[in-house]
Amino acid sequence: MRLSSSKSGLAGILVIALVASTLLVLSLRRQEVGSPVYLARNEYPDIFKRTEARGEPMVFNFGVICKEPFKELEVRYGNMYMTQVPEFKDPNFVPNSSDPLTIMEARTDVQNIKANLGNVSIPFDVINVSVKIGNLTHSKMYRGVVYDFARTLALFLDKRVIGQIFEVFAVLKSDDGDLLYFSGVPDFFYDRSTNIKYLSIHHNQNETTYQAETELPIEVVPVDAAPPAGELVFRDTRRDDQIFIQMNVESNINTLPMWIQQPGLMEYLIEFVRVYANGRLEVSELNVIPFEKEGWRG
Amino acid sequence: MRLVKAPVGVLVAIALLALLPRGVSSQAEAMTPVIIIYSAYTPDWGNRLADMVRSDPRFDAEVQVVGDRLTLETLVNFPRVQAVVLCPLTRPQAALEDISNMMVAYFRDGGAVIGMGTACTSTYCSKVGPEVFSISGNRSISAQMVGGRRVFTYYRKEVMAEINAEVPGETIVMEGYLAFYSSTVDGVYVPILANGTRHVLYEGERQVPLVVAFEPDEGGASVAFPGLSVQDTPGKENYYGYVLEREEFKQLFLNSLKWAIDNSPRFQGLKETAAARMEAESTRRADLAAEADKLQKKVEARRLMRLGILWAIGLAFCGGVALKLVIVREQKA
Repeated sequence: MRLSSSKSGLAGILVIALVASTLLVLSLRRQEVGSPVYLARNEYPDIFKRTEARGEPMVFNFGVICKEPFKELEVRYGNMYMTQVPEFKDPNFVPNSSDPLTIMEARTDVQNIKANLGNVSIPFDVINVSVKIGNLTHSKMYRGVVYDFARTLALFLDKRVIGQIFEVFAVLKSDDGDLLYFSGVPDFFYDRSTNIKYLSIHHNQNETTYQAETELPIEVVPVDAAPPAGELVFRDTRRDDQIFIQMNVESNINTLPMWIQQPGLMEYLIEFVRVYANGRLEVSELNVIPFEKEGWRG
Repeated sequence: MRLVKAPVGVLVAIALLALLPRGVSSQAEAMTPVIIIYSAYTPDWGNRLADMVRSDPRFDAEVQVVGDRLTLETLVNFPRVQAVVLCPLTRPQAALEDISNMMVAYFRDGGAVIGMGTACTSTYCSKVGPEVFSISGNRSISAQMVGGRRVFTYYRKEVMAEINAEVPGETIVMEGYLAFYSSTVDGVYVPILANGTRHVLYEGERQVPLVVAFEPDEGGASVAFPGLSVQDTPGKENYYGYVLEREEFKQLFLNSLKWAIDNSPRFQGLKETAAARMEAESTRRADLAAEADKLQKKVEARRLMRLGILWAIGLAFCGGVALKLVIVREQKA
């Protein structure tokens, strides 16, 4: 029995359609599933200015939308400042010829912390980061690593204490070998009770607002009462839940870590925000903000 | 066969039992205590005190000499820290600035602290003096020159079996320079209010406290040596090398450290609960990871189903179009 030419053509078309669509579906299936957390907003000042005299706060906004329901959604803040080249365990260590992770591991302070953790089996957070630093006309790509010991130490310490300890470290290295070192606290901002003037946390329609204490006869919830150690935990979130955090910061030279007054260190600060959904890191935003060059000592 | 199986079962049970205590002991090893000696800018002084502690068999801790403020502020919060010795000599302002919050938090949490010289007074260490050592300072007395050395004479006031019962003599002398204390305008010592029990073990002239053991109602235990303001320059009349040679100092320092550790619950409490805390956190993280895996599988399955439906619709559409073309062509033919 012979097939007519039109029927064999039909079979051919069907086979081609089958193969092509199967390949298309398989290739689509191979693509990674997107993050279940949508980063809706990440706004921070272009330049960090001394705001005390001007009354113009530095505004930080961060927001995410849940694309899936989660048992636990955790937002973690870290605030870091530039430091001098740290001391290395091996005095002959040459950081410029090493990658950021190797440099981090060579640091004496980091080794001290690791040694003091002993055999504590809960790992600290190691996060790879990449960020463009500079302005529109001149910028450089930096890649690096952040070590955050806060979650490990939280096992043993009061969280209000944890937010004051310098236990977040970053090493950033540009493609042309330039190195930047940062150290900071796991909190919304360094010295929160002094620097944060307004902090608002929204979960859908629920809003909690904290404000700096004022001499005006109005009742405010103080910033110190905000969740400690820059850690916000939302349990049993549903799909399309929205979480937004707004923070207004006003600082002067005396309310930032003292060491940044050393030459060359008042260049950048980092606001580091992460979102963990069911314990898995889904969003990691390293916001590097240049300091305004003048006016801090005025 | 039974004879063979039984010993295997027994062996497995023994092995499991043997593993259990090993797990516990490894957690205990994880909490080897650490004694921190903070001697900013004068590492030799810190190292020599550390050697003194290491040579005393009563201490089974690692001894770490810390030279910078930031490292102290971080490390003091770690669970393994059993005691902190604050003994910066030079540049007290830079060495002690800002350490107050962390040290007070550590002490309130039940930690053991020993202080020497400027670390013991509110004059240099705003909150640590009053809150950790129950000492403030609006006035000071100077050490006397005796035999070419600048020393304070310590008059025994109170005896504590664990600290100074075995130190011979009613008076001892130790090198120093200034001792700060709280006083009236006439310079008469007035103890500040303290929430706890303060033992003045030795005092100087005008009843100025020179060795003070403090047990707060809540928190750890501390011993202050406010008169031990020694210097790091060899040959100076209050050079620290001289005080290190004194047997009385060695006895008082080590006994005080031992007493403070024995009366501070922080380390022991953390050690006892460390395994349980780590276990709870591991379980929490594992549960969340399982939840994350489950969610990811669900999302992937949903996507696969959508793709499958899309595929089937596409195929059906192609088939329909092709079939239509064949029918049209055959009808034309």
